[in-house]
Amino acid sequence: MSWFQFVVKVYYDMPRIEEKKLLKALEDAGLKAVPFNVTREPLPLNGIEEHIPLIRAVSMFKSLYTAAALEANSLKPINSSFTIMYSGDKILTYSILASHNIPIPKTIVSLNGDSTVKAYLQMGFPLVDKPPIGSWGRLVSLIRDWHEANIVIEHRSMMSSPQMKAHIVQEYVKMPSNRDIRCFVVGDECLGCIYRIPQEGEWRSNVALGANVKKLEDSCDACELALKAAKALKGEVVSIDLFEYQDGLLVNEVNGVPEFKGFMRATGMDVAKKVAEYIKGKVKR
Amino acid sequence: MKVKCPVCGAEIELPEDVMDGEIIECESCGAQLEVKKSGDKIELKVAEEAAEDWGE
Repeated sequence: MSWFQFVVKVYYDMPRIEEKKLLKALEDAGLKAVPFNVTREPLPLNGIEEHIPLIRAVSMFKSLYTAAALEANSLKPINSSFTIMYSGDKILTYSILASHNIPIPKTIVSLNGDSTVKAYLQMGFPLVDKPPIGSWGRLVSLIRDWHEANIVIEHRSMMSSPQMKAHIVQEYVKMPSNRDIRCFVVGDECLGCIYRIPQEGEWRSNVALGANVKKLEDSCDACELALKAAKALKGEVVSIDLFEYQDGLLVNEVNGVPEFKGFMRATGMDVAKKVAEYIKGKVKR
Repeated sequence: MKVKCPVCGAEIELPEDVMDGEIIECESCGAQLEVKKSGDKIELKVAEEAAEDWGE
């Protein structure tokens, strides 16, 4: 089979602009791009024909289990179940990053309300508390006093999911204009980095919460750290969020099924094309 | 292609490149709707609420 006939299946649940752009870019690159809705069809653990899977479900667990089912078929999804699991659960992300000596914010993990009170005492206010699972800034709380602390502890204790009862307690890293940095990595290449600047009245810098974006002109240091984080998480197509700290940069998150609307807006770069070229390169090898 | 909103009955014009599973909003009532596409047949159903594992 020659490379131009190779099938790339895009596994999704709710197609966003990113999935549409990826499907088009793959076709433009001469590959056969096939959309696969993981909520419509089952995934057998053997007998699936050879192809390159690109995992793009909005649901982290749907992405994770899709990648795992495909790996059972000896396929190599982009990204792997390892990358999706270890980037999707932030406790696992920080564990991997810390074990690779990659700088992260000062972090304490606590698994219920009582231990969270002790974690808050150890960290001191202001602090940030977030659950291990979640995205788009959801449930990420800035806690400045015991009044806010008790509300967060109580609300999270009432959530049914065991993951939501776990707390990631972190120092509040005060950054210039509350901005953070997002870098995009494809294979061994860092495509660049952008600032994400929260809109007025918001302290979180997620594009989903209306943050503005601006290209980071000198992205060498950020890219160097992003590539280290991507390698630690074994990520092929990932985005990495960084904080500017007094002593340098910290890695805050790695995204295993990264969105790139904001990155494209800030940089003008065709990310989908870069991903398609990367996949085409893998087929050729 | 035009389909009816299952919530308020308003007619919704779908984009040409609409995909199975895509989430659209009814401009009339604001409902979030999921596209169910099977061959040439397209229908809309009320989309599920955002789940805690949604994101990137």
